[in-house]
Amino acid sequence: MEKLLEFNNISKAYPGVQALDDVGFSVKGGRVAALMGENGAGKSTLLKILSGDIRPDAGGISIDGKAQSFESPHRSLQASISVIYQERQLVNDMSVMENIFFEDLPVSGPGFVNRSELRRGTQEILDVFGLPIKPADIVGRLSVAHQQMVEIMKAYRRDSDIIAFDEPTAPLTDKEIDILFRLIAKLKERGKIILYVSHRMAEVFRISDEIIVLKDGRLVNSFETARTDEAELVRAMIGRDIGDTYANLNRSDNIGDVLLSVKDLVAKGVHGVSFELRRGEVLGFAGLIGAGRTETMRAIFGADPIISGEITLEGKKVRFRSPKDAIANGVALCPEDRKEQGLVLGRSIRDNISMPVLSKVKKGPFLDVRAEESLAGEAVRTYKIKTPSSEKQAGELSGGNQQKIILGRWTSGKMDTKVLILDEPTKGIDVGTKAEVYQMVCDFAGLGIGVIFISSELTEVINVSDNIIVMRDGRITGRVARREATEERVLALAMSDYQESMERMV
Amino acid sequence: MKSAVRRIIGAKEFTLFLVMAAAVVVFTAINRNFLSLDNIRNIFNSAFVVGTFAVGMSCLLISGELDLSSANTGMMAGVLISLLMNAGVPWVAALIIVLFFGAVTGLINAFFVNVLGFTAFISTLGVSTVYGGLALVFTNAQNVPIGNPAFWSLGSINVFEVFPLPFFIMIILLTAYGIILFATRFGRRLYMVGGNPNSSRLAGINPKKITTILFVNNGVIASLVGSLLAARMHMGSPLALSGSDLDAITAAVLGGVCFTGGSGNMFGVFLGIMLLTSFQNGLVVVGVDSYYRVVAKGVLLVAALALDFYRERARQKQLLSS
Repeated sequence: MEKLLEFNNISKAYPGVQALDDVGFSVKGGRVAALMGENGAGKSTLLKILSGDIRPDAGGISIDGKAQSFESPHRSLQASISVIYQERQLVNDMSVMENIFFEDLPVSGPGFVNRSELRRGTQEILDVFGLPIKPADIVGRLSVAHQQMVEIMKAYRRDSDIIAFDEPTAPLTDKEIDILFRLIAKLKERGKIILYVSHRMAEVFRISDEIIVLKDGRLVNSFETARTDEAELVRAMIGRDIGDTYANLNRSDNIGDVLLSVKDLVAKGVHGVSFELRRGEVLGFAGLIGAGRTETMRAIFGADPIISGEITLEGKKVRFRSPKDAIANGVALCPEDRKEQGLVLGRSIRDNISMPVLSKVKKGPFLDVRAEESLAGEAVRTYKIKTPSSEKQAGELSGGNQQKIILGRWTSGKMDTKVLILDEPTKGIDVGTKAEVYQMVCDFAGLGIGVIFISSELTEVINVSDNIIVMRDGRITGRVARREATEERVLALAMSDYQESMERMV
Repeated sequence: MKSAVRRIIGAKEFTLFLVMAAAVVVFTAINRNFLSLDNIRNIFNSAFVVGTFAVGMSCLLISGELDLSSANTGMMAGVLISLLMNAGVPWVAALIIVLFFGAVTGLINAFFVNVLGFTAFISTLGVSTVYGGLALVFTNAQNVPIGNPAFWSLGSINVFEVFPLPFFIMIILLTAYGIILFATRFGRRLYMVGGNPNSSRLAGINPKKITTILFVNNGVIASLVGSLLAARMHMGSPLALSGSDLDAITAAVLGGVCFTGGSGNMFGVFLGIMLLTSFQNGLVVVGVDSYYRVVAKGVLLVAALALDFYRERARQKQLLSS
């Protein structure tokens, strides 16, 4: 009998975001369905629901017409589903064979692990894959590509009927990609159902039978792979509904001389990045998650070490050894993860705002609480932070208000910020506050601050920035001015391979 | 006014205060002598070791670190100062040398934690064990008597009749550090680092600098405790102070210092110290067998940790729900 996997009208909301909105589709046995969409479109949420990691607010999954309810990942495994996430779920200190047979170790006698059986079973799987790995190798010492393959072998060993891959090729080299694709073809022949999430167009066209496009948690369309092309997919992924938020932005458009120049920057995950930022400019950094944008900025900011490269600020060569150093020179960073890297959640709004300028709010040996209070009050008023007082703990505010605290920190009267780096400032923020943040970004630029605006949301990065730099795999793959930027063009640059884009630029 | 009352009742210190008041009432009811001047002086005398340790330890705990070498650093200081004085070094010079030894110990701890990236729990335990062994080597496991009455007086003079000098020093340290924590830049940074070291670093604070200062500070305080104890006992003992750093942690946690860092204050710590020591003393006064006193101390610690756990969980819940 042919297998059938159905997603029935699944919805899932997180505070402030509708991650999935009434998504329904089905996949038959022996078919490979690719899931595509921008970051935040809902692909990962869908996979997490399939694996029983999270539960939908409404709707559900059925297999062969029978409704399933996964209270836990364990139940999903029992229903013969394997989901291979991007983040590897391996035990690094254990061997390949122990990882592959993790849930189901062969035992003999009173419960001793049967190591010879374990080795034999693992070798069998390794032979199928044709990889130069030994069963007893320690996983943590393998290359990232081979670790990813172990993860895939783990799913293969389970012989699940439904296998979902989340960007499996990201860490792989061409050789392993070939092995993986041959494997997928084999699984297909055996009637398995394959879900395949990827940003890479070429791959999707190579192995999928159908393509399902998600955008903002909704299913936009599904295509037969043989009957569509790249352009049609990109149009579907971007959608057409761009509100007039952007048209109403009040910009100064007064761009001055070069403020910050970065040349051939090399750091962990950054392979030779060069760009210039001017006074009053909003410089957007587009790209997919993991493109190396955050790493670039952390290196410039002195948070991570620089391997090589040259940074010039206002004509002077600089290399910040710590964030403290960068801040003293007028460079500020709003990190992507507000709760973990931006705020001290258990402390008040006031304490969070005065953090970098404590030496400027002193009265003799003591802190001048009144001066701090006025800094905080100013931020609360300017950014309309919704709170009864600046004594309230930062952790008690909503995401949007938390972001405003950090913006308030870097633009307070005691700061002299020249370069403001915003890493995904609108992540997890509701639509109304997003519009406020866009206007703030333009206002900062209007004051002559050079603003770097990292965003994985194409629409906003294209419409808010004056110029857009596109990154992929730690390299810059393109530069576009707002007037010439289209989402198709930027997305193509973000997904293209480096070589291709070099050819295009020449 | 109403909100002020509610704030006082809601404060962790208030719960502690009630527990302590209840303990005092019960102990006094059983034995009137519990509140006699002599016994109060006894309580003060035994409070100073744990209490002074708790000052340095609380600062470390608030910043998210801890130091399990304090007791043996203090013990080592007591042994060293005795050996130095027996070798003819004047007591003032000996005290300065010993305090310097404490500072160096703090630097060693900070080096392991901040430069090599070891966990404080393990590396300070290592340093502690090394000192424990070294002290036995230096003294051949014998107490080192001190024959210097001027030095003895450090441990026995009373300030304002009631306060033994060591206890008085403890009170001064508690007050000074209370002010540092509450009102200075360093104090604020300490709380921020304990609350979230990542955010603090990205906001221009140097977490390693803060914790290095605190480790050094703790080493110096530990040496001071060891020296004062040696003065009171008229000798340096290679077995002194054993476990008193753990008692200091008990007192700090009882007093509302968050074991995972970021919150706590010296007033709470003071109450924690007084609760722990008067509880121990009270059990003696009402005639509880000494073995059971150890049991009681353990129960008090577990109760304090449970209290901290529920407090933290309630806080997390509150943060998540908003």
